[in-house]
Amino acid sequence: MKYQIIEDYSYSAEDINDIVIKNENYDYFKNICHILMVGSTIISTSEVNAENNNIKNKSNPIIEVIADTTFKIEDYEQNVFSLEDYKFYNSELVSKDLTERILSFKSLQESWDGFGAIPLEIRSATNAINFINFLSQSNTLINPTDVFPNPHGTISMIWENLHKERLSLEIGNNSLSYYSILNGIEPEFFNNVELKENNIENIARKINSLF
Amino acid sequence: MLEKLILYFKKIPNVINDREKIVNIVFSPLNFRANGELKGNAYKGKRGSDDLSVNRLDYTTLHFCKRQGLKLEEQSKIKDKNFFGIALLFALEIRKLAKIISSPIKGFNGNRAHAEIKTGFILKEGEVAPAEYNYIADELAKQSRIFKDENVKSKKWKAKNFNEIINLKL
Repeated sequence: MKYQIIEDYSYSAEDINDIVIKNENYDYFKNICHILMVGSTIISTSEVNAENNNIKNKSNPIIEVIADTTFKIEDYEQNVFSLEDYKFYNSELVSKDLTERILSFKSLQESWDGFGAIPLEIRSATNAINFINFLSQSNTLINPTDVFPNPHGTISMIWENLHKERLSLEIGNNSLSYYSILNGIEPEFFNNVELKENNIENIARKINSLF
Repeated sequence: MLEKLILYFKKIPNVINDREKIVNIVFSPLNFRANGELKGNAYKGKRGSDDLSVNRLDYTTLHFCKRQGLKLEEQSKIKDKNFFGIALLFALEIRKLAKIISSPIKGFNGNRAHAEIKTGFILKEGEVAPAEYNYIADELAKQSRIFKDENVKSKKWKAKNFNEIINLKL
């Protein structure tokens, strides 16, 4: 099969537009995009066996390439499903680990901080575990950056990304409170939030948007 | 003893200047994340109160703060509360998020440089703190300068960062 492949990813929108106009064929542009996507997968799975040439002159960006590969679109789809499976299993592992950590806070002694702190309250622990289970079952559980007990028997979880954007959540006996802070935007505060499905789903969406 | 006498007779203003260095004693691993960052719990008050005890470094010494930290470690009797060092903020930085007021503890064995960070939120058993409270604690922790004194055998601040801390200016 004979393909024309763009190898230089530094093309500007004008360059790509130019290619499309030159060839006066929209399907041609679609093929290029398709090949770029499939090509990146081929490279990652080391199943590529192509002979290619380097682009030397940007004014003539199209080169002839022979891409002979046994990679099929079905294989690509299979890889996507595998990633979903991985996410599910990873979510289960995170859930198990978090549950164990939450239960360990229950065994804290009275005054564990040296200032009269109480161990994690049973209802707060149950609510935290239910919260984790809900996220895990809906496949939206991401390992928090930090989990810790508070001196008044509640539990806190923080999710923070590399840009220092974060969502900080505290779960208690009857409700939860949280704030989210995104770069350049004032923090948003949410208090007395009931532990209901739609509220947890909303929080899960916010957590997932951080990563 | 000499240090105690000097501190006892030192004149201490009631009003905390914005440029004063405020020291919070921190413990490991209780107050730290696995990546070494300070946790917001270092700035959370005691259960049933809205204040957090800190020291005004300009009117005390690093040695005193360390002795206090080692004493708190001993009193807590938990393995997670080991003296680590100090978290330092200037009063102005605290005032952007919370109040800080002078609160001297009287007596020769007291602490005249004692101060309190007040958020106005009281932590009640099993009730979640307002999100604003957690934000304040997390932000104070993030903005803090952390100084470690690894030599826990000595009751004096022995770390090489001694002069760096003393010479810090806003």
